[in-house]
Amino acid sequence: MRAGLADIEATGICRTEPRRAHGTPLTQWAGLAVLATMRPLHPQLPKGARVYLPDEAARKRHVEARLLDVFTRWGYREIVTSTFEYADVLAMGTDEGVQESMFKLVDRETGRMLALRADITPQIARIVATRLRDEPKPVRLAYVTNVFRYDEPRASHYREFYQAGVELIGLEKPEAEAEIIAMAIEGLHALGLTGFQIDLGHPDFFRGLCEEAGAEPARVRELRAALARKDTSALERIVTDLAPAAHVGESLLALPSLFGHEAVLERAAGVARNKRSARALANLAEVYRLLTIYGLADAALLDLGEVRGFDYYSGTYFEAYVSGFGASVAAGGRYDHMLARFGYDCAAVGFAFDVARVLSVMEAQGVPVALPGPDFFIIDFTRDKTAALSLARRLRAAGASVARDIISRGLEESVAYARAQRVRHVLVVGSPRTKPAELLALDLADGSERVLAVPEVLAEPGRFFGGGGHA
Amino acid sequence: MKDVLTLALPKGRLLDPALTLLRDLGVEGIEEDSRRLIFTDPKRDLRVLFLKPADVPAYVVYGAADLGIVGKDILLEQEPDVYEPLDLGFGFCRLVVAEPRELRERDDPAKWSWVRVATKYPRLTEAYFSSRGIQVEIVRLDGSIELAPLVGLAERIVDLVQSGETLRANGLVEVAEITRSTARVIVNRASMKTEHARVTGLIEAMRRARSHPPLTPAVRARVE
Repeated sequence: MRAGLADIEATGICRTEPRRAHGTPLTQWAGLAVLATMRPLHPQLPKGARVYLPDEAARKRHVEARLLDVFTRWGYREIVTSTFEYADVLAMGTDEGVQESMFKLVDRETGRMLALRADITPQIARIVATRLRDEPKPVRLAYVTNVFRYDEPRASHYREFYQAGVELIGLEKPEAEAEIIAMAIEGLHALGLTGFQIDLGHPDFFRGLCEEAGAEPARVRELRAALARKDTSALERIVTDLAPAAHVGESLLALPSLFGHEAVLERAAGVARNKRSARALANLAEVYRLLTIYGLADAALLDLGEVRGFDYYSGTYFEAYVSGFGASVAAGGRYDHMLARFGYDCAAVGFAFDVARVLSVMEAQGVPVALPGPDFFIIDFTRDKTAALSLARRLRAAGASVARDIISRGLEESVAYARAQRVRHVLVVGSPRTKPAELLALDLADGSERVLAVPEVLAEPGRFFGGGGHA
Repeated sequence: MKDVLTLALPKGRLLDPALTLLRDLGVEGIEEDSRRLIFTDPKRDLRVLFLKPADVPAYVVYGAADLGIVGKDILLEQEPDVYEPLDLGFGFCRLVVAEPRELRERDDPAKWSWVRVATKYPRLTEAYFSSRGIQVEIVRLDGSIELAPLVGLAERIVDLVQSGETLRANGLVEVAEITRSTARVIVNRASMKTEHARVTGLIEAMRRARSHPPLTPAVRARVE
């Protein structure tokens, strides 16, 4: 703006050190004394911890809000669980592999071991099995939460990470799985993501074949490890060692290729001679049929050779993959035995998005997230600040976001600060270009300037700042 | 859907057989002796990267490459979260523990309780010795591992051997085999799902080329 406006704001709450005529400000010496006694500052975080600075936090909040909005529109209500609990109670519902990676501490009062939640599903299962047992079914619960695991940090995975998900409790029908898969797809759309694929599987298909082959637990683990990598040569070696009936061996070897669209169901039907595998296949086929009705079958891929995921899945489960990112961004499925671990035999399905991974793929796909600054930024060069404070109050009451420039500095500096903060409108009170009871309104979006009467703005702010979605 | 699939190839001993395999598939436009690190075959919509072997898994895990060719030794060492659908069979070698011939004559591996070992494979080495109850101090090196015992850096080494010629030339003998390795095709987990048809098509073409090289024109037509 103009050099003539470079006045100093007369007073402020957070004023800089008043300059002394001679010598050094007292506080500078005090500062040195503090420095001398301070330990050297180590800015690093523990491995796996992460900070979200304001822009990152805004993107994270955007993802969480969009997902929670989808969950709400499907009739789910938010639940909040405790970050820490007694370790043995948490462990009851948590898979062994995950139990090992729980952060633990000691309860000072009882001496018992506490743990940070490594998975929210067992917590919700316990709460439903105890506190919500008598609620009419189905129970629809949603959450957005942090989770802690002592994992090796890897692609977009930290030791504290964030999940947004749902649990749908009390439904045995395949329509429950179809509902959460449809919600996951709606969530991906709501986030603006494209090029995704939902991978559908059923652990009982594989379990049935293992039983038929008479494989011992150690062998089952080897088979699972080979299938998890789709490593056909290792699979061949294990099946040769196992020497099951010819048709079972063929079925096990066919698993990695039972992967694709509808035709897989037919091919798998030829493979599944045992009851458990056949039941699994029938369930999967029904879920697939329902997804076809939802018009979502194109986004789904059947994968009977996929054996990753938690041991607690008892039925159809799914993972959502986005092109170019090597880990699933969302996963879930049926876990009917989970509530029984807490003494309440009840069917349940659920899934969760991994928020950090979603943020990574959004960045990779260049999905824009609007990060608006305050609607208004008010600079007041007068001594008494009445105009600034009443304008701020009035505009906030009308629903706008308003920040004040409390630092004393020149107008150009203040406007530069407002631009950096992505402010839309700058209101200047007490500028030499305006009369008393007037203000200068700068629109930083289109560069226009207006002189307005303060009482008129106070009376009806919408008349002057109606456009652009602002108050 | 992506425009091109990206395949990461390891420079070094696996490169020649990998390039032969690609030529058998009809991939064109790769100049072996060039210093370029990236090539595109427009006909097959395939882009090829030349990388240090140990870097191939990272490119595939992060999706910078959809597929890669890499030795099983590196997969065992790094345990990357990828699919490993095809054993290409070439590039056979063994990961062994070796020590100087003079030491071997008076040494009894059954009595080891603590050893110092020079290696490029710290995780596999650690896992091998600790599973036998032996404490191991690892000296991690990036090359010329055979030199370590000759200059007293470590008494023993864990390294890959093909013919055993390098061991012999440096006065070393094999004490134990840890694992065997051949070249594998690895695939990014998301690419396997989101580019399912093209990725599995390429893997099947490689599988056929491996068992019946080179492709007949009829098969080649179907693959393309």
